[in-house]
Amino acid sequence: MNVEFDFIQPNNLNELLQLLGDKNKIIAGGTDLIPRFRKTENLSKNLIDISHIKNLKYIIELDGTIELGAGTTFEEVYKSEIITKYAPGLVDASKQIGSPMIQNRATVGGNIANASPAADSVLPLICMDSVLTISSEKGYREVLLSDFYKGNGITDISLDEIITKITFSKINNCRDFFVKVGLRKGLVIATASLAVRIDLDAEYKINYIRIAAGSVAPIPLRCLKTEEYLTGLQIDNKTIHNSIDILKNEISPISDLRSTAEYREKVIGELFFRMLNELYMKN
Amino acid sequence: MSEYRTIGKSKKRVDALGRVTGDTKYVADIFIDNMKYGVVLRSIHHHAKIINIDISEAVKLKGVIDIITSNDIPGKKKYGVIRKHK
Amino acid sequence: MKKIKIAIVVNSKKYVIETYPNRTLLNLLREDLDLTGAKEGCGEGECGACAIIMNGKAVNSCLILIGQADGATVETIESLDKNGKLHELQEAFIEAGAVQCGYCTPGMIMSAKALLDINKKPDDNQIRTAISGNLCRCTGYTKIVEAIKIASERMH
Repeated sequence: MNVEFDFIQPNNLNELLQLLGDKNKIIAGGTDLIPRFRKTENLSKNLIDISHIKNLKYIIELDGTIELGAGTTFEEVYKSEIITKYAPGLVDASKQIGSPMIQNRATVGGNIANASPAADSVLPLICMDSVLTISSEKGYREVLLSDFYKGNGITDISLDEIITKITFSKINNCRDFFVKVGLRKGLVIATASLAVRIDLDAEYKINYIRIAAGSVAPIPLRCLKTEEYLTGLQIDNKTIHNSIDILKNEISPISDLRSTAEYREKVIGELFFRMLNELYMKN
Repeated sequence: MSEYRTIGKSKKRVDALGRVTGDTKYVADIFIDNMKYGVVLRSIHHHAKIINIDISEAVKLKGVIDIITSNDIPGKKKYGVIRKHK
Repeated sequence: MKKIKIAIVVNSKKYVIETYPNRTLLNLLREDLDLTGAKEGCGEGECGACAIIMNGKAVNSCLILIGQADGATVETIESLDKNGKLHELQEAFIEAGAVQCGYCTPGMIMSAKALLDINKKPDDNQIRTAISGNLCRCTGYTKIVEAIKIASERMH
């Protein structure tokens, strides 16, 4: 590649935090950045490599929550017994990012910070009400993941900050769904994708629901209106169809090189229908 | 009737060995000191007629040694049969 | 741009290399160590022709900056055959007809090896998943999956 930079490798989190600033750019797995660098002429920044930093890679089960280091790779995520037990939607998403070789390098923090509206892992993480811990030399703050995206590629983070941790609650009685539709099964950016976490009781009442849609809005989209309509509702054929209409209105897909707006809208509606229908029929 | 040596027999590709060991050198695997690299620039316009190629700015770019066009072909520039589209 | 120095083990040999940090592990293997088995097909991690095993995992070497490989243990296709004796994967690829132009072959074999190193008896799905990051334009994948199956059976 033509782009030039000085390469710095902090040994631990403390050293890293002191280096953050507008002169430095962070690289973790590099699976998004390096392809971008090949098309870049000038970077005018140093590259800070965090791929070695051990205290960013962990998966810990606490009393009521689970903490995931932002430097954890997707391979580490899907192999984790803790994640498999408490976040099966995240396991499904992790296995569909890029390819196994990409999963061996790409990190959760990177997927979140890269802010693609198609970011696969972000959708189930939104459904888990994940909270980001964003650290800087001055301390840290917490941001709800679904509040992190302000616009296309615009995130609530400054150049002197870095996502260090993702936290979510341990929840029982919920089912996770994640579906990614693309032009092929592997090595593909989603044409349209959907994650749902739902607690449907024996009387067909939805006690809890979270919905996140990918590639159908400028950001990974939490579908609040659809959630509002369905929460506390007893589902039947009519309410299922109503909720699909609300969902289709809530998203704002565009036509691009991968697909058309109409197809994307149809896919999201169909995926949601199949998920609700499967639960409805099963119960 | 003598047995066939090849017909009806399973044969290994003669070039497979080098490919599974990584020994076979493809063109991209050849590195010679001071070697130069050639790149083909193709027209992005279908069925277009090339009226002129202006290389004056491109030839000044860093790393460009030379740019060769049909103007550099000595002698007869027409070769082969050109079929008109129907 | 300042040069950096890294220590790396490639195919059981130790190297200390000083070079520019905007180069990738793929560049280092092919240009500095003459290990041209790993190929550059896309430079973007989308084809797998550059696949090697780093610290026990299959990775796209075109997506690893030299500095990120500091301290790593790397295996390339060249490490598989020993003293003229081919690895079971290499034999199986030849016999099953899984090699045509051969450009994807080193990457395919390394992805397969990474799988067989941790899963001795993979089923077809697991094999297909393991090579899902390796593109082949020639064979249609069927023979490649067969070859990996055959190799796994012979290895155990």
